[in-house]
Order: sequence, then structure tokens, then C-alpha cells
Amino acid sequence: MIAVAAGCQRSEVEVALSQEASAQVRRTIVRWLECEECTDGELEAVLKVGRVGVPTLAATLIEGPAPARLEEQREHLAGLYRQQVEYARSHPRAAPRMSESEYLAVYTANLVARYRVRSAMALERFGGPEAAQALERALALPLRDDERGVIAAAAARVRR
Amino acid sequence: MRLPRSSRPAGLLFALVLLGGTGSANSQVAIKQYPHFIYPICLEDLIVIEIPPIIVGCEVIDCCPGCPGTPPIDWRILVEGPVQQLALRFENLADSPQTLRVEGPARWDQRATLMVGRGQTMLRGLPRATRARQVKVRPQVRFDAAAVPVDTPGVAPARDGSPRQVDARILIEQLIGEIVVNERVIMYRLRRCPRPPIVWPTDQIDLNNNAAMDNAVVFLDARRASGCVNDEINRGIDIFSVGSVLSNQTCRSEVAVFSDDDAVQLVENVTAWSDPLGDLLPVNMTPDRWQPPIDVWITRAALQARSQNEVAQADLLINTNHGGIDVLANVTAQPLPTNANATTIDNTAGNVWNTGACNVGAITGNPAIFTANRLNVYFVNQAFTGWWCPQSNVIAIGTTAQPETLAHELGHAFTLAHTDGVDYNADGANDFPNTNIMWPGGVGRTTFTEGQCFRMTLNPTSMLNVNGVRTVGPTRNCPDATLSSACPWVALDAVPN
Repeated sequence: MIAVAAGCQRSEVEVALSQEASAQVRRTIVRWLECEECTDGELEAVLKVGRVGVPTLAATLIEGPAPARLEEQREHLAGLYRQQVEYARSHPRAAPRMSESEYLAVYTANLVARYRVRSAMALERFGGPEAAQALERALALPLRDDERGVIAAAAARVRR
Repeated sequence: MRLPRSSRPAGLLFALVLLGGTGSANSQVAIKQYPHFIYPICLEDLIVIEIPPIIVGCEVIDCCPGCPGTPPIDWRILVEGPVQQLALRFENLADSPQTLRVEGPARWDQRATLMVGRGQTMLRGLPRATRARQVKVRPQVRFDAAAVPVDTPGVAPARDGSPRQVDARILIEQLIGEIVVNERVIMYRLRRCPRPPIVWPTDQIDLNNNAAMDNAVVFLDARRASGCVNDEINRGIDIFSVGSVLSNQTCRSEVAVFSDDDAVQLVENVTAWSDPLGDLLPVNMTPDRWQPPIDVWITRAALQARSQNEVAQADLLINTNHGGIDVLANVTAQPLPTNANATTIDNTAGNVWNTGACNVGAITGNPAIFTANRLNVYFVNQAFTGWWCPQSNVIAIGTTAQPETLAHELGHAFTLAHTDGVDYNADGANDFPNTNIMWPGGVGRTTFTEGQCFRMTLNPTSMLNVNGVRTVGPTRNCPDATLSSACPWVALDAVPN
């Protein structure tokens, strides 16, 4: 059993999690953060793991995806862009409409936005002081309009 | 209504075969939960394929609920099956790799590459990724071909998934203490597919008008000396040998052809085969790709570049995976709607996302923002990725979409379901890796299988057929879960593509 060490995480709830449970909470949260249409109960599964997931969601709301995830995404996007350029040699209509740096910037920003928006949506459902605090902190960040819209609405609902 | 719920169940890939059940209990959980890259690979076809690199670090920003501080990361590497050697090439290590502690059947070579043998290896003390610096690991695998069973002489090669195969698997778990904070499971199913030497005359298939002159994939249903073969994979560019194909008798006889820049061809009720050698089956690879009419709408001018990019990306992903659909040929970029209509589109799309209910009447009932009998794709100012409303010709792509999101939604429009956690051939392993475009999310989705391409074209409820795009050729009802002589396994894939 792994106990949350006091002071290492600012958390409303000190929970002892088994190694397997800790990994499972992570996977459940990631499925929600990553889903496309999210029609398979991904958010409900996050709520079901309980408030033990709140610190991860709060951290993701503020800081976005993990650096390893961002780098994986960058590699994937760079590969897709190169493939598109190559494909356009024989299929000119399919030429990319952005430079590579723009392409990477746009879709990386979209990934960050998705992580933030999904975290906000889940925190809104959890409610409570830690969620409220994270949502308020997030509003002080430089956000895209779509991020701000969802986070502001979630913060307002949690305040009520 | 949005997508039906999926049933349970890179880059370039290098599948590894998994034998036995060594490893921790957590490893077994990871293996069950995370996708197995199961590809049936004929050793004779095997080429060196790069696996997408593994980034050292946590999957989520705080690593795990309750994870303490910022300790280094340990790797637990489990190699099982006919793997002669796994080479892990490390990039961006600040210190000499010799400072990392290795426990188990592994050693460093002189180039920051860890050569890992079968069994369990621990690698301790890796620095986890920060925004400024990421350690990347590029895996390469060499198989032990001698460990893959050889077919019995006189018996047909195991091309259709018979048990004469061996799984190889690599599990890489990233740990903080004993908690797994990231993992990668890579699996291949290896078998031998010896091809008898070609002795002329032979039976042949002739692909006429192969637009890209690529190495097309052919699924063959026919009779051979061994009996009926179903979805036997053959490859060819123009005229190529298929060995000895006999007269049909009671066997199903048809050919499905998958090729870049060509529509999927299904030739049913083939009568060209006779018992003597020298038969020739011509297949006319026309039309070129089907051209579904697609209207693209944007609700803000700023979405134009993205919309153009993602439509082009969808064309690439479908075509290069032999989907036979030209996404770009018949696209109409609709003018920017009025503010009121843009708001209607945005609000309707947002409501569908938030409620899960496919109430799109406000769009489909307004001819100013919807064209009947065409796929209408809306790039909207709402914070979601994407959705497709079944049988409504409406796709919405939101502000948090990725380049492959539209290809995923088009896959739904052409009848494909999600592919995570499915095991339609009941072999105890996930049918699809998470590089499949119909996986419901995640990084690195770039592939459709030929089994999926078959369905995108031939299912009667594919929007290709509903919208009257296909004017020739049969339809065939093949839900994803169907595996029969009429419907290839949805995960059947020719690798390399």
C-alpha cells in the first residue's frame, strides 16, 4: 500500500492507494482526457474513482499535459506533416495549408486546450474547495477563448 | 444521436511476440488494459520498422495520485517470445548511460544503446521529461526466426490466422517507486508464410488501371489443394502469380483489391479458375477513388486554414491506407454563414457534445447551412474534438481537434465503429493497436486496415452508398463484429501497407 505522504500533495483527501489502484486511476483519467467523442462513459468512470483523482485533474488544468505526452505529440505531428508534404508531391490538392511550425503550434495548443477543458469539466462535477481553487487559479492563466469559456462556466457553477 | 457505444474489448510498428506470463501482477493488468499491437506478420515479409519513440516520463503531469516529489524514473522491461534482441537507443541523456543501473539480461553498447535480452530487465535512475529536455528511446527488435514454427511440408502456409504462430511481446513500464506511471505494450504475431517457388505456367491476377502502380493488396477466396482459402493475402502491382488456384467446386470464389488511388474492388463469383495452371483473372481497377460530395462549413474565418488542412489530412490517411475514397475531389467550401447562422451551428454542435443527443434539426432544417445528400462537415467554435451524427450527414469538428479527428469521424460516417478493446476473432488479444484511426483517442492514430476499408466501401449504410456516391459494384452488409467467408475480419491488415 502506498500512503499519500502528508505535505507532498495539497489534497483535501489523504488516500492510501495500492500500486495497482494508483495506476488504474491514472489510466481512467487519461481515457477521459484523450477520448474523441467520449460516448463510452469516460467522464463517469473518472467520477467513479472518487476524489483521489482531483489533484491530478487540478494539476492538469493548470499545467496541461505531461512533458512526455507533449513530446510524443510533437513527434506524431512532425511525422504527419512530413507525410503530408510527401503525399502532396503526387496529390497537390492535399498540400498542407500551414508551415510546419504553425502546424505543430496549432495542434499542440489544441491538445493542451483539450486537456484543460476536460479537466475543468471533471472538476466541475467533483466540486469542492480544491476543485474551486484550481478553477479560479486557471482563470488567471493566459487562456484561449474556448478554454476560458469552459473554465469560467465551470468555476461559476462550482462557486454556487 | 452520437456514435453508438463501442463494444469492449505509428508511426511505424515493430511488433513483439509475447510468450508465457512472467512479470509482475501490474504487468498483467497493463497488458490487459493497454492495447496490444497485434499484427499477423509473415516472417518472409518482415522489414525493419521503427517503433514510435518512447519518451521517458510520466503519462500525466503529476505522475499519479499521491506520487511523491520528482524522483527519477525506473524502467521495467519485459521481453517475451521469439525476440533475439531488443535494442533501446537513448537520445538526450545528459550524463553517460553507464550511470544508469541495469539489472537483468541487458548491457550497454558503445552508442548509448541498451541491448536487452529475453526476460525482465530493470533500468534505474532515468531523468523524467521536463519541458526543456526529454530523453527519448527508440526501440528496434530482432526476431529469433528459428523459434517461429515451420509449416508442415505439403500443408498450405498459415495465411489465415491458424494456430501455427507465435506471439512476441515487449512491455515497458515506467515506475516511480513501485507505481507504474507510464507504459507501452508492443506485440506482434509471427508466423511463417513460405511461398512456393513460381513454376510457370502459374495462375495469375491482372490488375488493370492500377492508378498508383502500387503493391496492391488482394484478399483471395478460392479453392486450393489444401481446401477453401478465405481472405488469403496476396500482393501485386500489375500481373502477378497466385500459384495454383483450382476450380471453385463448393468454395466461395471472389477477390477484393485494395490499392492507393483506386476504389476498393470486389469481384464476386469468380469463374476464371480451373484445375490446370495458366488461368488469368483480370480485375479492372476503375473507378479511381470514390468522390463523396462534402460541404465544409466554418463558423469563423480563423478556422479556414485548419479546415483545409484537416480535409487534406483525411484524404491522405484514407488513401494511403487503401481506403479508396477521394476526400478532396468533391469538396465545396461553403461561404461564411451569417452571424445568426454561425451561432446556430455552434450552439447546435455544442449541445450535441454536451448532451450526447443528436438533435441537429436546427442545422438540417435550414438549407442555408445544410446541403442534403452531401456530407456536411462543420468546423465550429466549441471546445470539443469531434462527432458524427449517425445517418444525418452531419459531422462537427471542434476547437480541440487533432489532424486525424476528421478522418476518424469520416470513418464513422462510412460505418466504422471504435476499435479499442475489441476481440472479434476471439483469440484472447485486442484486435487493434492504438495506432488505428478508429481508436477513440490518443496519440499516433494513422492507420486503417483493409478489413475496415472493405466495410467503408461496401457496407450499405456507408454514406458512400446512402448518398448514392457508388454507382457500380456490390454492397455487402458487414458489421465490424462479423467474421465470415463473406466478411473479412475487420482487423485484417496487410503489413507493410
